[in-house]
Amino acid sequence: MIFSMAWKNMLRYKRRSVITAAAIAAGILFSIFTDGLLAGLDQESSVNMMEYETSGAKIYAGGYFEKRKTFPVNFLISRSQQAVFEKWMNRTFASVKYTLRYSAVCELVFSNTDGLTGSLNGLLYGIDPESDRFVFDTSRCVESGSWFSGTTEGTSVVLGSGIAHDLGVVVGDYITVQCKGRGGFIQTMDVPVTGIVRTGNPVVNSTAVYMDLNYLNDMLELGGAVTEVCLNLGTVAQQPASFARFDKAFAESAQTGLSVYSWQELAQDVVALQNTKSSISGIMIFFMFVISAVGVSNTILMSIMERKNEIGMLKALGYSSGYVKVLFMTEGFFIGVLGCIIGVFVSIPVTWFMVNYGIDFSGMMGDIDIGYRVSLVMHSCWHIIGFLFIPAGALCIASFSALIPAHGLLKKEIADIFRN
Amino acid sequence: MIQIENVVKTYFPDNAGERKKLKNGGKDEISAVHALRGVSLKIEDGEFTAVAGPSGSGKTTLLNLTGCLDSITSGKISIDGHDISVLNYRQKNVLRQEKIGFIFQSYNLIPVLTAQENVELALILLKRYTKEEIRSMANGILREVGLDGLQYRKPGELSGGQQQRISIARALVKKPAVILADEPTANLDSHTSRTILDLMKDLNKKYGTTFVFSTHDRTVMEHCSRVIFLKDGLVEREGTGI
Repeated sequence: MIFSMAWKNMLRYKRRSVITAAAIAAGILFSIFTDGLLAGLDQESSVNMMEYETSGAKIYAGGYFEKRKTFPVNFLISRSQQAVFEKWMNRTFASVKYTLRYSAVCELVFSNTDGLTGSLNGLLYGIDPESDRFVFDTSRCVESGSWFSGTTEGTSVVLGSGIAHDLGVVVGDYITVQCKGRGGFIQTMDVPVTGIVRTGNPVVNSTAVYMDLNYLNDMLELGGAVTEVCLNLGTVAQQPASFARFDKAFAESAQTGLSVYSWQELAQDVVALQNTKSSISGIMIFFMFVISAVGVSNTILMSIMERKNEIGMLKALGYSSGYVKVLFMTEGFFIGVLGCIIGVFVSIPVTWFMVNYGIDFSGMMGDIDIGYRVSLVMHSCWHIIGFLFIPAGALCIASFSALIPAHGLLKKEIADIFRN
Repeated sequence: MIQIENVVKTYFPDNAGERKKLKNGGKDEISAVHALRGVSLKIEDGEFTAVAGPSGSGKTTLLNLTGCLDSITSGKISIDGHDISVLNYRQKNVLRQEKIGFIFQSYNLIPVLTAQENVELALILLKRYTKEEIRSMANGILREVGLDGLQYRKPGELSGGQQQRISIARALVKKPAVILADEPTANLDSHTSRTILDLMKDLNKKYGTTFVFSTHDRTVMEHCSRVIFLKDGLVEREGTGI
């Protein structure tokens, strides 16, 4: 009887119920959109970190990690350490791909044909083109020119699209690269730009300068040493488990002077941003729920005001306050169900659009760095947890918020209910 | 039998605890309305009784207290030997379910339910009957009040008199000991009022159910075997049908 009566009562105030359900649906759509977009940012940012910047994990020589933000050149992994590591990897993790890199802060100077000179700071990466492509995806993001290939890589440089644009450099131009070599001396190299890459990671685009590791080894007198070993530990989803396994085995291998760090440890600022985002997402969803609760409470309150005599009659017949509360909760629930159905059905095509096309914020935000390693065309992802929990939460809120106005009336004496 | 002994009902305004200063003398006194000031009376089983009096005399309050719709300030009311002033919330619910039927001036039917479903509402809670029995009892009583064939209509599709008949059927279907009717004819024209009162009188004779009306309608008083007049919260006088 409760279900039938609640259903009929909901239909009795069709327009009011539909308006409230529409408000709930809008709240659900907004929440799912926000949740999906933020989850999409997380996912894309993580992928772009791993594929273009940090890889799944990095191995540094002792002391480097603490000072990594200054890109020191005095904590290097020596050739002998590399040999021990290579032997261990072949024995223990033969399937895990890795590559060696030398990272250092550099200054780029460019003089164009009009005699104008400009300079910018960048991050110089000495890479092994052969193994680098098994760990990073940068080689697949060439916008113009080419990635290192064959025997031409020796004296060439590949730039990120942002830094190339800022310097006004195109493929074929010569630039001067200055950076510290082993021991701290400054080396200056005039090299041709052979390629420009545009990755999904805006930080890489605006700072990265790639050169051949062998060439740098000679020019910077590295003696075969590198600053880091970068590991491919699978996809974003696989990485945590792979890293846990690797970290455990690496610790047990007791390789002197080396430590391994996951990309999350290397990119603490991004991880912190993701955690902050979760709080913001929670707050936004909370406010959506408050709005839904107010909407449903208001609808039920109006319904109660118009039905005081019916409520009084039910109580006079012997129906308990609990029964009447359940009746109103069920009405709220039905309105919530209607809102959820509409909300979820509208959210599906919206999310599909956001996953496949996204929204281009570049016109609005220009080159603003939002902290995430994503391009300004933002995509959502199918965040199934959001699709399940947001409507479920809305349903609970819709049901329980009906109790607030009902409770106020039902605590009165029946005669007062009639009298009011 | 309904026994009412020295019943007092005092209403306090919303700010009940607030004491107001009297202009004369400056003495504090709680602002309160004394609806009943010590009413005592006895209504025997099967009586067809009216409680009459001007507005504010305490008629509706007396019915509300008798029907456990309101709480007594002091005094005692017994229905079939149950002292309702000592009953808790649940016990009062059970008493209303089983022993008391209500008829109201504005019918108080559930508009989204059919006539039959409105009547069934009174039986569902008793949990004594099967669905089929409830349906059959509801249809039976609706036939008796002259609504045969209209059981699937909703209240909004029926006249005021027909709606009051549903209300009577709802009150009577569970065979209560007493039916309390608060101004049941106030919204009806005189012809319909007489028809409804005749119907209730017939049902009173047939089932022996006690009927207590609150009214200031002379037609109702004419139909009643006993009329109790209230004035300013006290029994002023008693008489037989006018």
